[in-house]
Amino acid sequence: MNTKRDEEVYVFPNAPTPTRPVIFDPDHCNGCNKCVSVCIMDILLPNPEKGKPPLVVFPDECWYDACCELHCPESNAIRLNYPLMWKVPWKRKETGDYHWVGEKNPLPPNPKPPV
Amino acid sequence: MNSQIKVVPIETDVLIIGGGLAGCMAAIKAREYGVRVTIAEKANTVSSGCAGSGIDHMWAYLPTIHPEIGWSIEDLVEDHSEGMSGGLVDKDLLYFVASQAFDRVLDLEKFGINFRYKDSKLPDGFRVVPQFHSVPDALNFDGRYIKKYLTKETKKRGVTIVNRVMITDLLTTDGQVSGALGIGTRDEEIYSFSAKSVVFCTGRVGRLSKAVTGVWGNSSSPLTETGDGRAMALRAGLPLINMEFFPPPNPFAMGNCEVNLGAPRNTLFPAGSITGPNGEVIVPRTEFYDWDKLGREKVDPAETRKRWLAERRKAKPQYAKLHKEGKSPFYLDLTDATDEEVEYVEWSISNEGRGYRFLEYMKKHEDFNFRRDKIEFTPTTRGMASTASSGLMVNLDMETGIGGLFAAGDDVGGVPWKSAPGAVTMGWRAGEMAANRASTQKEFLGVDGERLEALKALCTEMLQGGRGHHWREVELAVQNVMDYYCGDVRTGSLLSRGIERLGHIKAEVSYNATNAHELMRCMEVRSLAENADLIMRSSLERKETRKLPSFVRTDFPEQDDLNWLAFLSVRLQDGRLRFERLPIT
Repeated sequence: MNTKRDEEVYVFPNAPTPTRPVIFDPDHCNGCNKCVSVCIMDILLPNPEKGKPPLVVFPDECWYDACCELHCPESNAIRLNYPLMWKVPWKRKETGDYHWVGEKNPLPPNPKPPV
Repeated sequence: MNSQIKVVPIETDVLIIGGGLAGCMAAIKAREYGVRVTIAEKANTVSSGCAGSGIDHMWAYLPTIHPEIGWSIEDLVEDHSEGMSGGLVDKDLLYFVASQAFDRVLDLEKFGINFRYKDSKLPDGFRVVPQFHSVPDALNFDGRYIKKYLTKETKKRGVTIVNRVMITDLLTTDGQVSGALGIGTRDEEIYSFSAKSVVFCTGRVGRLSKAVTGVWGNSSSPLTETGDGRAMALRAGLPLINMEFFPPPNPFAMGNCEVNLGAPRNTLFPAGSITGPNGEVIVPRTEFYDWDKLGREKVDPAETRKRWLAERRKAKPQYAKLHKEGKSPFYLDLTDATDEEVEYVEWSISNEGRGYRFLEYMKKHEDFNFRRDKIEFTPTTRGMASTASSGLMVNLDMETGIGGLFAAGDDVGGVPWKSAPGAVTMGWRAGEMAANRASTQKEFLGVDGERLEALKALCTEMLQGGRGHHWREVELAVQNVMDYYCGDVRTGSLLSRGIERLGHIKAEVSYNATNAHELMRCMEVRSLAENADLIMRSSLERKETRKLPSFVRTDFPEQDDLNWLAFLSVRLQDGRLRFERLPIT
């Protein structure tokens, strides 16, 4: 995206989504920019430094269809960081324990006595 | 400032707008006639459109299986008409899709997509699963990279693909199509296409309602679907039909994440059940697909249809009611499934929609296992769901009211749930007819200079509008109006007020874009606002409640077949919207 305003600086409000929807592993990414080419929301830019992972320039527009990951020639170079509120709770059948993404599962019981 | 925007002229015989399933199929077919074919695509054809992150099944009438058991194409059409569209359907178009779908499957197979499986005992090695119709007729396939294969085929055949260009204007001369104008979404340039025929394949309007979770884009259809085709058709004076059948938010979701996993009786049909908070069964699990059962016994189509329709009516649990009675949350339960069933379900998820990577993530990082864990399931509570009822009117040659303008796939109205089979069959036909038309026309009609200047001026204004609105502010405002005034509750007074409020928003807005990317978003939101207006006005016009395709007017709670078993068409004429009822004959 060769905008004519490259030299200008803008401030964007915080978006209600992860600030890093797409996380690149610089050790695995070969900097081919295939993901930049296929992203349907067009949220990525090639890194100005050749061979480095792309930049996520419009993080709040990601819709997590994972095309970047599906078309990536490397494995483990791209990981989607799903929004917190998408992270699905589930229940283990035998124990009845609730599990929550990103927590130490199963969740400990609530120690507060009922009011 | 105008002069700073560069214009890129492109001449082609056939211009295809949108490179999804329909667009790629149209391009591939059109090239058989030796004409120059160009696809203008807003994203990248490798991953764009509803099939962008894969599809794993599509329905088709199978000539090697279905006639043997006494089920005809007419039976498929009748099933679809009764069960999916309540009679409000263009039966000729539906028949066309049903009769052509299998041939297109064979074409897709030639392009490299696998449709045959070792575990099948059917004559051709197909996996056929039930969906939509009374007899199983949905073919499973390895469709995760279907768009990659289609892009490869279009390139092999010499189609020119112009990615990252959003078409904003359809050009006509004396009722004949002459080309289209678009903006480069990465380069701030205007693309001016001169063409002898044009095919609309832009899809539906999806991004018009805010997602339940508040996360932007929590929707199973791609966010690039902003109703650009409908907005252009409206401005060109073409009639659009059934715009009121727009579903409000809150679609099927897993937890709060809409990932296209479906529900029991859908993708997870063979093994899932829905249970309540204490394990009580709400929807019992069903049998696993028996790959070789189909074709063993003859069916009585009328009787099968009757039974199937009755089952469908019974099968829909009243989640909203149960929720109000305190019997939620619900769980999608596959813990009783066999290994074979779970393997199939996971295979199915891995080929369709964006659930695949999400499930991989859950398994890898969170130790999730379908055999052991029940996943929370947020069912739809909305009263309306009528995928792809609305769009342009076409004849059986996919031709619209403007000479040389064709439409295909979800840009075409009148056949609800035509989905992938609709896209591939209509695309193919539209490609053929557009090529024929282009080869009979000698001259190009030329690009309308006035329209080009107008688009330049509009882009310049948006790019300079320092104090204007950011596209997202406008989008949220439009979505809010839709969610409240045109959601699950629709009444005359509510809709009238919604139309008023949208009018205020449209009058107030001045867009501000700081680069090509935001310019595209501004143009998209402009399409969204035009679609919102059409949807609300059409909803106000249809004074009835309809079961299928479902539409609810709280102030007209009865279905009125006498007056309203009809398509509602709307067109812009002399600056005013004109409505017309087109009864189903």
